[in-house]
Amino acid sequence: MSHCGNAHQWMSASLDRGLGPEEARALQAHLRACPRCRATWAALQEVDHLLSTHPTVPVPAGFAGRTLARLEARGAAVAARQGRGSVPWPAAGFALAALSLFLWWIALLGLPALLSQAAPAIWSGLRLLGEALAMLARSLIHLLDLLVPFCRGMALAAGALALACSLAAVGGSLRKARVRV
Amino acid sequence: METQAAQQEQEWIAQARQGDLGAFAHLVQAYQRPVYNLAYRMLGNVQDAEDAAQETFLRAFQHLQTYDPRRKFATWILSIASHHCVDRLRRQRRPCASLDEAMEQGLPPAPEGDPEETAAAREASDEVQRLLLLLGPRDRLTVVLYYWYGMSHSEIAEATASSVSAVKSRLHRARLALAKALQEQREAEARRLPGSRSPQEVEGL
Repeated sequence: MSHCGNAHQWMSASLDRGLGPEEARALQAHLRACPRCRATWAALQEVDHLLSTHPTVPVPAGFAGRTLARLEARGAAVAARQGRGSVPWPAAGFALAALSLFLWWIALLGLPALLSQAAPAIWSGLRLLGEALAMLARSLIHLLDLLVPFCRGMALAAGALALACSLAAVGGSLRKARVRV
Repeated sequence: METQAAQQEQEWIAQARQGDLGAFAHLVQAYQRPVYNLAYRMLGNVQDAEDAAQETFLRAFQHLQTYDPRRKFATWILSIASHHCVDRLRRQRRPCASLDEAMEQGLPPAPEGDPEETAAAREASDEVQRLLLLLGPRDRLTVVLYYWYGMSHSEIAEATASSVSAVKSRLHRARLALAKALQEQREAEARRLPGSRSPQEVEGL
């Protein structure tokens, strides 16, 4: 049976014009001895011949026009989307809304509460680490205390700005969705 | 002449990359025949072939930036068509049992010319299509690219993102399957008609 397997490989190679003279002789010898492979070889040659005629079908009339019309329709949609930038607007809107909430939280409650909660833990940690580090930390905290009013002002302003942006973005995406519908 | 045509083509591609639909229209004109025929041989009916061929051009336009001008444009666009057709066939996942039904639904219009010659050509074309539809999507694609487009094993490997040895074994397997189908068909015909005459001939007597 493995002879037949080899013969099949040789037949394929022969159809691809990639059969060496020695293998060609071996194939011929096998074909003389094996009627099954003779039948297969005849069928393979017929298949090869049929496929080599590679009949073509005509392209339907107006194909190019229909393709370009579809492309134009899609292109117009893409251009409309790109006109507003390639940012996914609803996602950007929600991200900005989340950012503005975070900034407001920090401005109104977050940072002082965070500092007052963390201070005892920081102190005990600092005592263990030594006086020198404590001094450094104390001065850092003083600096932070100084920065808090400034941060609060900045955060309020940034929060307001981000909220305005997010409202605009969400509004824009809703309007766009309505237009598309 | 050839280099001039190639230059012209590169110009169209460059302009189409800038979004010039007029330039892309030339490319559609130049490649609609090979793309449509590949889709028809893969999908087996004119409706799906038209849709898949259109989709191929839309994708080509969209991804024109990724085309490497050192490669043949034909290979590039045929590889887009190939992937799309194989995907489509996988999504359909329809067994190739009802060949006759599939073929009757979507036969292409007869080519113009001598009616007798046309009928013979059509019969040959139908037989080829019937055989092709017996193959799985990837084997069918390999056969079509090899016989219809004269691609070498390595070109097919490039267009179908596989290795040369995979292409060779697909081609081998496909031919053997088709040979077997053809043998069975011939045997069935011989059993039905011991005089080895076709039904038309018998009716004609």
